[in-house]
Amino acid sequence: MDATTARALMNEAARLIELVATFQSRYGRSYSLQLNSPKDARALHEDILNAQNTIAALLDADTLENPHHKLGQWWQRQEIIDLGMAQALVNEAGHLISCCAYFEADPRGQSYSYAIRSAQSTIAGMLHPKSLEYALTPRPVVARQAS
Amino acid sequence: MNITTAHTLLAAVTRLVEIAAIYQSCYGDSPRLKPGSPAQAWQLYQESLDTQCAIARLLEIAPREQPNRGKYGAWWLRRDVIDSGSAHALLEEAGHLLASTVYAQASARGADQGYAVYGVQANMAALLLPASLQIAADDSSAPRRAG
Repeated sequence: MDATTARALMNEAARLIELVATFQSRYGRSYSLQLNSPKDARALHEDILNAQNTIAALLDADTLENPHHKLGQWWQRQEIIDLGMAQALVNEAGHLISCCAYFEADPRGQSYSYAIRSAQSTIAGMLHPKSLEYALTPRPVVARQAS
Repeated sequence: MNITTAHTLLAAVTRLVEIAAIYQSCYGDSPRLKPGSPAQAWQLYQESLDTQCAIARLLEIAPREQPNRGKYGAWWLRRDVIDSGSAHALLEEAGHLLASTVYAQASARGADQGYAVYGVQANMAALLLPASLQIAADDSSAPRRAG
């Protein structure tokens, strides 16, 4: 994890806030998807899951395996992440950027930061377990054929 | 306030969080700058001031002119460069602003959210150096040149 990756994570967390706020304003906080749910609700749900997958893929693998559930497990209560949790995720992403920037500028030149690791574990604990699974699953690299 | 501006604001605040962390990492024991301070410290100070001016310019005029001074302390009375704690508080408000703006635009009851968007901006203004609010106010009141 470095400051550039942390910034990319923050951008994705901001996108997640936007998607969740849109979903929540249209369908409420505890909406449960049904077979006859509107297409828009399904599409937003998909986008929200994809945003979480992207965030998970930016985290270091060891923190994905040890998520810290600081704020409970929202997926046991509802299907879709709520706005409060999405905002908490942005706050934690800010903390991660802070830790990375501090560590990279540290004149004492340490080689490892537990603060960066623990901030990532907290972010992993806020994501849906399926997103962590997605990020941990090795995907085959598609080799380009030489023309 | 619209979603694009709220995103830009969040990005600028993220940069400020980074600057505050770098300053704290390198010069945490020197809250005040002096003529003999290192060039990098002055550069970080200037960058933090420029970023705060950019944030102030993105806020709407009314909340910028009436910052909610009751919520946060005046960090500039104790130090020259914003501390990580205040920068994080600003980030939290920026996340809230993005959520409120999206909610207001996506919701049919959008008008009710107007006060939330205003209130969050007033909180953000209270966290910015008063000089940056003044500079932003001067910029917006300066007569525009024709042609």
